[in-house]
Amino acid sequence: MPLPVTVSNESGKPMYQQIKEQIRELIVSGTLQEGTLLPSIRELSADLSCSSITIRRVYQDLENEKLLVTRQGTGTFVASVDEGDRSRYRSTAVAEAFKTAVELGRRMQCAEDEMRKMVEDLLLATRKGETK
Amino acid sequence: MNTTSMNNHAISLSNLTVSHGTSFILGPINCVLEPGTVTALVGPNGSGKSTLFRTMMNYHFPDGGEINYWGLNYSNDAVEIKSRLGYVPELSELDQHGKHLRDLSSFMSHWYPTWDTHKYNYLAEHFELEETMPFKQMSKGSQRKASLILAMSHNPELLLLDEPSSGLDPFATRKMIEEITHYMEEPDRTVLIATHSMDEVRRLADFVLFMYNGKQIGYYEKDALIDDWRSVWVQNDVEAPYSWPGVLHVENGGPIRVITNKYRELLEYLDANRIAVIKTETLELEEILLQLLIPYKEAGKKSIRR
Repeated sequence: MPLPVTVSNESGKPMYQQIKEQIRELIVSGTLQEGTLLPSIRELSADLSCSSITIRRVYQDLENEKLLVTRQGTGTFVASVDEGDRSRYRSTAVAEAFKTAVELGRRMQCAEDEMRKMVEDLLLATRKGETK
Repeated sequence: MNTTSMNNHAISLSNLTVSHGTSFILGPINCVLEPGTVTALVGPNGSGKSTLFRTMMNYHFPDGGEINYWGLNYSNDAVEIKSRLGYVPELSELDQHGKHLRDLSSFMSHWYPTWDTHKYNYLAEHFELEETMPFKQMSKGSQRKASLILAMSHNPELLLLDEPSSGLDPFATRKMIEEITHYMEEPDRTVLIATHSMDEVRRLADFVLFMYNGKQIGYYEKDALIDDWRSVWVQNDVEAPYSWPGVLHVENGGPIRVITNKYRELLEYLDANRIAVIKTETLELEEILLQLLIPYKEAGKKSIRR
């Protein structure tokens, strides 16, 4: 079962971080429901063209965050995520995305007011007819 | 004495050298492969990959150094080593060993205590091979498939594969990649696979052993290579980019593009010096390997052609 995860070659983030963030989002958003069996470490590494060392690290980190649970001999499953954790992860994920954008803005020497305006405009533009 | 201690490396090559008379062939090779890992052996033709495999199979004696499998060596434990590994040679030449696949599999089932008929039948069917077709009539690709099936059907702990996909069409190659992936689901199995296909390296390998002209260029964790190397584009009014962290190559085509093998350090450096990054991009594996080769090539031509 291929996961809807992609590794970007322009992201600048290490592979394991990209994969971890995307799987975390899939779980926290409810797209991957509790009890879903994840691909084996080797399957996912072949799918994403990364090494099993990277995937093992991703699964281990997410298990430490209590988002995944591994049952010996059976596989790795999505754990239950309580609502409090869910909203906390949601804000962390969005904060991370803002952080990346702001860092890029700083590197491109974008003024703070310019960046604020961009956010305002985006919020306006995405207000009507949103899908989520 | 048989010890299957978990601390034993699956393969340990220390200072391995091979010569032919006074002519140097390969070495010194120094590396250790842990159980549970897949290592891709890459390098241009003539790098010594097949010689390395034949030496590791004891068909060719090294002139120096040691080969150990799980702490065992050929002097004392040749039979045990051979029974625990599966080998696909560079050239199949199966017709020299038997009439057809069923013939050879029957022969091997008597020699290998761990022969798995169920697995053999599954693989023969999965790769769509006719068991009773004489090898002399088989295409090169089908012979390759047969070699792989025979190597895997006794559930070895280690697979030594010398360009197993050579001669295979893309569909069969895909099946091969899937089967190696399934093979590695069992813990403590190990694969050393020589290949020219960067796709196989990307999909299968945890580590890359890079050889050139008989020498070991390096043994790398594959994802560390991909994460550490980058193309970075910056504005073109910068000074001395060659002095930046890890920068090995600089190109000026409007914005300046540099290639670095220390991406995180370079980002910090650029940030600290208020140099704007326009874009970053990972390097293809083959580009990284080409860059690694540069110090080793006689004619040091420093540009990469897109």
